[in-house]
Amino acid sequence: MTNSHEPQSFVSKYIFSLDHKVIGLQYIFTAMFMGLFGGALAMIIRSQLAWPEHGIVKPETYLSIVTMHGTIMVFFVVSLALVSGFGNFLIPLMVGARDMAYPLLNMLSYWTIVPACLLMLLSFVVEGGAAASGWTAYPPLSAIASAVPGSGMGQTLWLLAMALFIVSSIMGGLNYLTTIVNLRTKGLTMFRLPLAIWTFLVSTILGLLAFPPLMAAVIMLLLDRHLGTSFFLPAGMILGNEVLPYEGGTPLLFQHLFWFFGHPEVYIIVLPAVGIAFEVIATFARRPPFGYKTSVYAMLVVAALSMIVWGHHMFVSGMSPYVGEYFSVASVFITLPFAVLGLNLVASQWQGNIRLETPMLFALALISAIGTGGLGGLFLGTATSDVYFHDTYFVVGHFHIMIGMVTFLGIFAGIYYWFPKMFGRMLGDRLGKIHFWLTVIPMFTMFVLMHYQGLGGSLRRIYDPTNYDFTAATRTLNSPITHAAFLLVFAQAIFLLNFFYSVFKGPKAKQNPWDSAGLEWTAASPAPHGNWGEHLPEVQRWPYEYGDFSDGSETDFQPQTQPTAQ
Amino acid sequence: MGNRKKPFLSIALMGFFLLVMLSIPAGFLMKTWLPPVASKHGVGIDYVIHFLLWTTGAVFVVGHLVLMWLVWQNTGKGKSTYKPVSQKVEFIWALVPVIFMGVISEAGVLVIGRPVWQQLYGETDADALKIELIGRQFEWFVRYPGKDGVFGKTSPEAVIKRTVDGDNFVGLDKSDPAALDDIVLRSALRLPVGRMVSIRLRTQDVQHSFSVPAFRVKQDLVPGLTTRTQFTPTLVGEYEIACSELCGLGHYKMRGMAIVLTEQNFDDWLAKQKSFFND
Amino acid sequence: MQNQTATQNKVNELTLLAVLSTMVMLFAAFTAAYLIRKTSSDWQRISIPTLFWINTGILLASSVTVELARKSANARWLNLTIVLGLAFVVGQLLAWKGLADAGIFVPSHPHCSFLYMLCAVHAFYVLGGIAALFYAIKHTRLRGLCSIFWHCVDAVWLYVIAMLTLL
Repeated sequence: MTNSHEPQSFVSKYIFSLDHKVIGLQYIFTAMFMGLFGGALAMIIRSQLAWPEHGIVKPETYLSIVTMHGTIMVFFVVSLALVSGFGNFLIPLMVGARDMAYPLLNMLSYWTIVPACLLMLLSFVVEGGAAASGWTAYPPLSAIASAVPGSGMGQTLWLLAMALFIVSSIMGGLNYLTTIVNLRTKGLTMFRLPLAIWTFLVSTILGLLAFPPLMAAVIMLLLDRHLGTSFFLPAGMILGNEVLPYEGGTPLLFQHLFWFFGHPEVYIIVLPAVGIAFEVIATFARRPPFGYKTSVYAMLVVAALSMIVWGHHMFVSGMSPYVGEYFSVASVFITLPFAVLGLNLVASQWQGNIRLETPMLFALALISAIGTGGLGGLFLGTATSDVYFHDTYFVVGHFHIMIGMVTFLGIFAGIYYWFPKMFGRMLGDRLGKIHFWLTVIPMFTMFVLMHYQGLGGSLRRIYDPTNYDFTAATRTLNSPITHAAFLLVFAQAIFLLNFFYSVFKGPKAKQNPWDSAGLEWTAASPAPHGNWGEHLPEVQRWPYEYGDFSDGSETDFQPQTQPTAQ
Repeated sequence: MGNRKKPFLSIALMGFFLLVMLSIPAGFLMKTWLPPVASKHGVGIDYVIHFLLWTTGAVFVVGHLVLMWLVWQNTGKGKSTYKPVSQKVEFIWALVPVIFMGVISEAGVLVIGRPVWQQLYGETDADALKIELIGRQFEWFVRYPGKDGVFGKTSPEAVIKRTVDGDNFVGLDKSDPAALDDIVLRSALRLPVGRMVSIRLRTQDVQHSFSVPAFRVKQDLVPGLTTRTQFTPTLVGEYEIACSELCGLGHYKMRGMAIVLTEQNFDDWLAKQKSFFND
Repeated sequence: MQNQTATQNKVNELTLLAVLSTMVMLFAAFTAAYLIRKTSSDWQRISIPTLFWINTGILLASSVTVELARKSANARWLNLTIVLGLAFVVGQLLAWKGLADAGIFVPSHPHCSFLYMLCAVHAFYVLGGIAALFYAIKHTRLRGLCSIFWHCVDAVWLYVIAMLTLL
């Protein structure tokens, strides 16, 4: 199984490490690195929209930037940090294992993501520039090189990078799944698992089921692009002043395959953020989550439903309106279990003893963001209103709150919370609070204003909104949104400086600085190779034993390993 | 540790939640963002939107009030007053969001939304005006079928080949008698007010999407398919057509105009149009 | 130590299940694509050349040998399975060459586009299975699971060729 021999060389300790904690941090650092690009791209988009008269970039460059901003953020920042980063770091620590089930496979999964990142970045400098067909890569725009400059080599590199990403994800998923299901330590039954682990489990299963259809779509698109097949390309298209020789393919097939993956994907990244919030809230409200079991069932229902509602991205695509009706009824139904999770997050404050530490601030703001953004989803899942909102900034605002704000707040909550476990030091608190305020205020501002723009009919992926008169009212919001974006970026700079300073010079942390009852806090901070000493912990209870124990002691919690009273 | 005073941070957090809770609905209430509606079914779409705004708005406000109250009440207490509740109570509380959101969401879709959806995709009026809209990178072409009411044959080869005089925009086949009276125009389509129009949508290259915010209409143009949309304009005026599916570097300027005229003015205008091959 | 092996077995079993699920989802997606693509007017089914059927036979034989390998102490049957697996892959490449010689290339018809593509994707899994079998030569504990994987790869091929001939 896991070998307990400590790695000796620098290379085996930090480069090709087999230790899940190092690998988790490698993922998080890679996500930070890619986030620099994703954020820079966002600033270019916002600058262009606020001051279109300056023509900061060319129209085709703008489309590449929009495409790569989305692709990099969703896959190479959020998914990398939340699912791969925290998943790797936390799972063995929270289930009482020394490491993942397959440490070598784990290491390989990280080193598969690195070339994927490099290919994505490389695509910026090839002829024609990076892919420019949106993160959704719909053919024929993405299939034919003359349709838009980025559909040359840039799109090919994008597709190859995505293929590598999928392979890496599946390799990682095998580890997360088997470690959670099979490597739980003695006494740790499924319903004694932390809610965060449940979210990682559900997220992993969704990934194993949803990524392969995307792989199929990627393969077929590569074939259409390079071997002249017609999976997605019909007859009669005129591009580059010639009638293209394709025949019989249908672009809608790609959309079905993409969104069959695409909708579960958003839950793959949102659920772990929710799980992290539950952990943080339990510790800082000094009480168990409200509705542990209902939360587990709710997230299972969310996941199951998420696989049968993909058509709500395609209401006006030319899909049959009857099929559209079905997708609408099913899609809004997801609100129900998701609202259960929301209620449970809120109710977890009740009868608590709340300490407003920095992680808790992020977790509480996350609850507000879920409510705000999640309710907006109803406007899009209802087919009739979606006719108006499809492809507008309402969609952009909605998904930015859900997979931009909720996820990032979860990531930040997790980083501030588990920083001591990762590095044995505390992440600077003063700067942390500044980071919090300078993140949530701009984020809410930006993404809520985008909803108003969408309500006014303002469309997405538009290089210069001044071309249309009907955007006159909504255009005025672009400047405030952009200013908020500058503030947001500034805040992340503070965060990164604080982070790296604290890694080396932060105040040394106790083993369990937050007095949490979770299993991971029974390991030293930072957690050593092998996580625990000679003996693995034995679990006697769930990880939320908070309260007044009337046993004379001052403490208001009992760790998971504490034996139950005789 | 038992200080009763609320920490400053707690007050700031409440202030923040209050700001969120008030400003977001205020933004919706203080300004009419929706462009004035100019189609029959559009009224129904606006009704769905307003229904959702009010109901989700209520949930949003109530949810934030509860969150604020709970956080405020339980911060700075010094000691937890937590007492476990039974799983049964947790399950019963779970029914609250299930029932509320179930009613709101499915009422929106099935009760209020469905009739409008059926207007959009249902039966076409017998006297509906039939026109065709053809998109290409990066402009719109409109085709009226002429007096015979039949759209003539087109082909992409004919587009490339051009005609003797210049561009054969939609690739009309001169040998097809039905094509001889077809009227082809660029960028602007004219419609009579109060009469349903049934629009055939085709694209010559990649995907585009026909949308007119004022009409609350949106339908993708899909290569290899002929899609359709229909609506009844209710207000005379000029409305912008915007492409709403990323189609390349000129996507942002793929603009057209939908001009709604009185029935009389429309008939007069149509009578004056020359067919494409008589130009 | 006993416990560790039992746990490792459970881990490997679940991993196999997960890998098979991804394989099923991948080919389910291809099936959906096939059924949808089939409805277009340019669809024309080409007849499957004989060599593909011979390869099918080779793969079926290899399933028999892998079963025998599971029960035997030495690696003889396992080695034979690997040889048959490699023969299958080579056979597929030859079958492709045969098609190309007959003027049927990847883009020639949608049906043969699927044929080429599904063969390639499937062959990738065969190669993965061969790698697993190599590993199982030394790690005899894994022979059972590797043979199940091998049977499933075989079953997927039968599914693919049935789809290409019957659907």
